[in-house]
Amino acid sequence: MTNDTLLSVKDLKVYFPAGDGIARAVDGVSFEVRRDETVCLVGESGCGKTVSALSILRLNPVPPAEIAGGRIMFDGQSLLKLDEESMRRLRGKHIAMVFQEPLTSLNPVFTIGDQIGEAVSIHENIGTEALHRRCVQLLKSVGMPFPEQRLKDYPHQLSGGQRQRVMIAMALACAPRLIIADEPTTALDVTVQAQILQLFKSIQKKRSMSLLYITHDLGVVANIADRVYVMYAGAIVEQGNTVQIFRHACHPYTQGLLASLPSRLKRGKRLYSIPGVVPNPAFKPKGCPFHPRCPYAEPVCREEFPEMCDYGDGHLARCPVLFDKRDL
Amino acid sequence: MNSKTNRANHIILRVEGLKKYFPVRRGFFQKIAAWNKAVDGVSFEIQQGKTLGLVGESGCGKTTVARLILKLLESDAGKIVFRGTDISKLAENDMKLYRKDMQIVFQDPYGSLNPRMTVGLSIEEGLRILGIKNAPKRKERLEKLLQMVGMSPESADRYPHEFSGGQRQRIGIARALSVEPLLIICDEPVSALDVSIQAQIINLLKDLQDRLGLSYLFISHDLNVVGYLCNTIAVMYKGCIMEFAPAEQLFENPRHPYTISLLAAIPDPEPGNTPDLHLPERDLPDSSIPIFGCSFQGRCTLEETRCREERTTLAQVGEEHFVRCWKAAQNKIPKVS
Repeated sequence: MTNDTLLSVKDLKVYFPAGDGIARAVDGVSFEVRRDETVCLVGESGCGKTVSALSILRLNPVPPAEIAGGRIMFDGQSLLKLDEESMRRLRGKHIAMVFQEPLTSLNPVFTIGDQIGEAVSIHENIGTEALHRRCVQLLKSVGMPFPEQRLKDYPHQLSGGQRQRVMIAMALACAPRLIIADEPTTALDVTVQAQILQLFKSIQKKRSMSLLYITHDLGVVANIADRVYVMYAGAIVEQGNTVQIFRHACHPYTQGLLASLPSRLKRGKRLYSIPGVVPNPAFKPKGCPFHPRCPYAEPVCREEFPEMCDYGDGHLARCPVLFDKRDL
Repeated sequence: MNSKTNRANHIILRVEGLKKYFPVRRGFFQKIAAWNKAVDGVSFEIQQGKTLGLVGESGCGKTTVARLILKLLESDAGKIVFRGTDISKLAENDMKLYRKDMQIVFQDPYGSLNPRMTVGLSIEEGLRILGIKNAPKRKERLEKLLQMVGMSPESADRYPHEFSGGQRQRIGIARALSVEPLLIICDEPVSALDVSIQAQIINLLKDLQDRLGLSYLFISHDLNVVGYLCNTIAVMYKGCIMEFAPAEQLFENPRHPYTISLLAAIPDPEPGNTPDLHLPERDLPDSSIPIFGCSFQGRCTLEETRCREERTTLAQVGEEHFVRCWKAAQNKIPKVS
């Protein structure tokens, strides 16, 4: 952990009861976010990316969730040890979150102005006039046209893209040092998605803050990330910067994901597809969770949970089989 | 001339000037305040064994087109010529003849299968409609269908909730195939699936097409999928087709400003390739507000007075390449690299 590290998650384990057994949704996940950096957590549904992100803000309901182990350090504080009151002061002020579905995360009976205002006034003592000016300025900073009028609108009067802008404005309200965005553009059209991604980038440049961006869309990752963590079945399987991940993927899962992306350049060729399905978190296969779907699986993969192998320059992949085969 | 008649014989579906307006009701008495032109004069044709991609943002009317073709919705105007017969005015009873030739695969594999019917019963329903009364024969056919979509015969006795999204989509496809259709309308069939599963279903659709000579109308908002799978692509915006071209043409040489910005917005899985925005920071305008002229006005960066004053028409700009923009037709759109 360097001085540069803003958030570090170490060996986090989050379990849920599932019938008779337990679902190990997050099973020993470690990652860090440095200052002024955009980190992407990428993986398919059910891989534990959202649960990992929610645990940072302690938003997973406990019970049923159980933090079975690990440590989350934010700016020198251990978040899992904080009391609820300090946690509440931290949420929104230092770490803010943007959710996937802007319509369900905005309150339908309050105006946009009320909701952005609330985000500010919870953490700051601020007069009505100043609050109003602050809200207008926040909406302006997220590229909302006619911010003055929009403040009086209710969420249903806005389009999907505008709602997501409001969510981002709320997240920015107290100038947090970290924004966690959980699939913020998945529900949006491509053209609107491109606008929102550009907005995230420009905000980050201007305000010097870190962004933890959760998505399943590799196209978005390549576009926005500095560093990437690829998750599969509750574990990080590969990490590195965007060039390392997209040009020199070293884990069979990452390689498979990239090869299975359709594009017009692959016309006429058969798409590679990873056989099988993502394992149920309650019945994960023994050994490497990816081995039933892996073209390189060897007997050892069925027995032992693989170690992270270091390819240098911060590029790590959890596949000793391919690591041994790398040409040096 | 000979080749032309030959080509006409190979057209399985032709849609001409299809229109559907929905009333927008407002006020206490719910008076019709405006018309939402969901589909406003759409024309295209699909050749046998080929795939036509219909792309556009949400709310542009692409699903409405699918429902009009299947006659799940009655069209207000226009022709739907399926295998040489105009079915747009056919009564429900006469429609039965054609219904089995046209099937649909829905977006949501969770909502489109009856949770109380086993997979086998769901698929067999189609076989009964086909008139296979002999139970052992039905069973044999059922097993063959399941095998075709890559599922084990034992799946027939299980219920939809026991399957994952990708498997359910396979069941949906088997169900569509059960009546031996010629045309399958795929309405966002892979949008709800994970990346690794998406490729499996795309490959399956492609294999089935090669084996059975199926034609597809493939509706999607994902240009990467459409670019991979489709022969021709129609780009829709606010109920109109803005550009229609063979897939390679459309990607290599897009002509309509909307197509250009749509292509530019695709996030490219190549590090460093930032989508290039040609769109002003505006969202999709409300389609119930009537405007005159080009429907892309308000979002177009190349807008001129003429765009607001003149009705737009589809102009031919290349072999089988059509564009609804007078500037593009006159080659006045600056090239983007």
